[in-house]
Amino acid sequence: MVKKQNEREMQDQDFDEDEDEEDSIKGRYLAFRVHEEDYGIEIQYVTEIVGIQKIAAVPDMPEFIKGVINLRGQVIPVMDIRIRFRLPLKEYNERTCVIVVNYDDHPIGLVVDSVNEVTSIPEDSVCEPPRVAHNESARYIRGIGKVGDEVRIILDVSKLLYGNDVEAVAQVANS
Amino acid sequence: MDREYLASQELVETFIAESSDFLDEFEVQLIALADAENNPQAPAGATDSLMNNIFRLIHTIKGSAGSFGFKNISALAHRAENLLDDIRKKTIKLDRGRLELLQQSIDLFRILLSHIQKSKHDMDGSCQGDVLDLMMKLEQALKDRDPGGPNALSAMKELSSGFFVFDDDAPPPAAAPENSPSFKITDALRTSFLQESDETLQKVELSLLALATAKGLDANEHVEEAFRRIHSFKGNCGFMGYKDLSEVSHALETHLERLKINPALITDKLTETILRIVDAVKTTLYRIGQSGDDCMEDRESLIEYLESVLPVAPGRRAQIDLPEANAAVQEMPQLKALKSTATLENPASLNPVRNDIRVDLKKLDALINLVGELVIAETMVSGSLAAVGIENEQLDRAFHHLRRTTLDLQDISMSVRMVPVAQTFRKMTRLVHDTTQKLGKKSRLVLKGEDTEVDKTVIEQIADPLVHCVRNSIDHGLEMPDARRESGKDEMGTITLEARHEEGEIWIIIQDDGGGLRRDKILKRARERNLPGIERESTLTDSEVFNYIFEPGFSTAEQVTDVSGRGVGMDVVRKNIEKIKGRVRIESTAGQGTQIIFEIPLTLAIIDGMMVKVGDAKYTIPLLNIQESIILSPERVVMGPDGLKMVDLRSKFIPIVQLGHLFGQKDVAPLPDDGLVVIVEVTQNSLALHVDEILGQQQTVVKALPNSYKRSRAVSGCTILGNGEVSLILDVGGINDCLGEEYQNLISKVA
Repeated sequence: MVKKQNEREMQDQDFDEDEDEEDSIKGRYLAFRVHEEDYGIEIQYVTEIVGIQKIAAVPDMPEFIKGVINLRGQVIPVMDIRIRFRLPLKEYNERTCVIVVNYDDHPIGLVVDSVNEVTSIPEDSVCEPPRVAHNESARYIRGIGKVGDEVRIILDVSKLLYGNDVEAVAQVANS
Repeated sequence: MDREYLASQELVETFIAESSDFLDEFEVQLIALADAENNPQAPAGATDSLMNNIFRLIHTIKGSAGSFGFKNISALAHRAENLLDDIRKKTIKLDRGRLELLQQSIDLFRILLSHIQKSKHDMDGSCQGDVLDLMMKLEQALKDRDPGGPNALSAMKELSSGFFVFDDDAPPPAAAPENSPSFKITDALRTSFLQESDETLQKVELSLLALATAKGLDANEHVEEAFRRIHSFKGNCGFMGYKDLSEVSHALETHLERLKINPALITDKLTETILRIVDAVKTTLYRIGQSGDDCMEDRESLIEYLESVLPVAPGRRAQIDLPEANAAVQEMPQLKALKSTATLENPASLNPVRNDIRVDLKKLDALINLVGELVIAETMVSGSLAAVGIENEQLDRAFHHLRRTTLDLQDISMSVRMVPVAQTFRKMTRLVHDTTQKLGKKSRLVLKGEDTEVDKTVIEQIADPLVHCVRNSIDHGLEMPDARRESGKDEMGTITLEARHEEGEIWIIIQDDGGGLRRDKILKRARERNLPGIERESTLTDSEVFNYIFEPGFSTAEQVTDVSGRGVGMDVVRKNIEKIKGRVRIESTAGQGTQIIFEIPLTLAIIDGMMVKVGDAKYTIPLLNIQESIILSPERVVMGPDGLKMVDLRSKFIPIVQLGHLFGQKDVAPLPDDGLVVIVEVTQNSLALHVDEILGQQQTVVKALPNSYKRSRAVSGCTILGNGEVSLILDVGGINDCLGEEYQNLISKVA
């Protein structure tokens, strides 16, 4: 089930409201925009979307973890996608959003430039990512989805959150 | 019949938890009993009630272990029970050797329980030898009186065959009380029996009701469960001497056992009947509670009726004739009468009052979390209304009411996590007993303020320090009996454990009436080790001198014994207490004894903090660490040789820490020579934290930082401010460590 608990803070955009059925989650992606590029993440990981709020910086966290925020009494880390993708930083504005994803029972917020909509991309319109990595974001791509003429870069949530080289090595070592 | 079946994990866990509680209790009572037995002045009644309690505990352990198929435990418990039974009947005495055996059994029980936790069975190769050995010893201890008793060989046979017949499969325990005239049921015993039974029966009912809808394996489990409960209920009834009840429950047990073997026999009719009988048992229990009358006049008809529904001879009439059973209902006027009494009396009034429940700690934490949020939300709402400038008397009153309610709610939700220290204190009974025995000293333990409540996390943290302090008090504090006599003291030393509320904190006090700390000895050792501060030896206050014993590796003991003397203990004590934001203090008078005092905050969930502003971030510094705050002036700032700035505070040079720098912010302005510094102290080390502004002091609710990424050492947690922002709580000890590392790096770079 997609938990869209925090409707009031959702951006003023046109979301489909009929996704409360289990099977409708599959093949659905939340589209967002970072540095003039459209990305998508699987809706099953998304818990809610909140507006940007003051982030408290925490020392000794990985560089891409901007700090922590208060999500109704729960303190969660937030990652700035721009830092993760080594993109130039941008001032936060009223369109800046925090997408709260829940992976492996760990909630984490993703700071993005703006959130667009929820789209359906059938599995057969998702193709393999290009093998040649031309920038940092390529490391976190699960595939390229086509919606009409447009292209969405679909991110791999697990790699995005934990795809750090060190951790990847650790994971391999553990398995 | 195979008693081994797949018990669900949950049941096993309950069994482990319950048995551990029982063992703790057993241990305490056993020592009390031994003391009472060896003390001719003790009132005769005291030993009896202790004895009965002990007996009941071991019996329950045996019963439940047996029904779970934990053969080692039940076999061992069975032998311990036999021994205790004879002691109860006064045919043998509880001497030192026997006491020790029983204590060894307790230890072994604990080991076996931990095996169960790990592997779900109690047959572990590594301790099988111990079990057999102990069983033999227990039986040997019995033999003095009864040479014809079962020998060790039978113990081994039982174990290897994996087949058990319990003595209590028939209701003889019921007869036991009559045989021992010394037996007396105290009111407390009866109350706890009633409460326990009520709970047990309730669970039996639940299982039976679930049976109606369950099929196959599930049904089996429910029967199993009901059987087990009834079995332990029967045992308790027998022990309490309620003959009628134990007879009826025996009949119930027999029938349930047959259902267990042959689930096909289960019918709605039958469960209905069993439920009726359980009702009757409950009514009797209620009567016992009211008047002590345990008579069940209708017991025979009930048993008969039960047998008519499910005949006892399973060989010939395994198939039951339903219409016949139906007819039986009509023929039983007794049952009709029963029906009417059951409906007449309000069932709720039958239950003895039980006023506690077990709750998962996670649920509690979630509740406390939400309550904290509620308080914040309330502040935000009233704050924003005030900001808009709405003034309305009615609204004000409503908000006042809301605030009071939320604060009350917060208080209550906090208090839910509090548990009395009694259990932790009582565990020391055994320790004191064992240690004094080993050292050839004499002592007694006095507990005060056992009902004092402390946060559950705190309880967990003080257990180890308590052990160390108590051990130290006995080993180093108390003198040998001869020496005590010479100095005019009672041969028997006294160790007092006390818990009480003081200055908004909990104080745990460990006191002994021994020789006290020796200032000269401590100073001598401190000189040898050249500890800081020793150079002004003569001006050191007593408490400063006593504080040396917390130094790692510090010991004045001439030789290391297996009890203490390695100098590790007190170091651990201080570390643990500091972990829960507490302090340790020592008071000692030569020749009169020593007091060690743990001063611990009431709860870990709330700390007193000072909020400071650095850049645009707000940090919270635990008040406990703060010594003072001073305004810097250029002439007080000194540049150290390593480039670190230090502040000159009464000729003490304290390094100045820039939080922004420490937290890896890149655009940190160079440290100015003015502004504010907060002087913090941790483990005798001072630091000066440079801050822009001190915002004030407040109580804050501590929250954990997310643990999905590596945790920083410089922060211990965070708190949510009135406006919803997050403020990090600084860990002064951690900052000190980070700084030390940085300093090391600096040195290695230079070198």
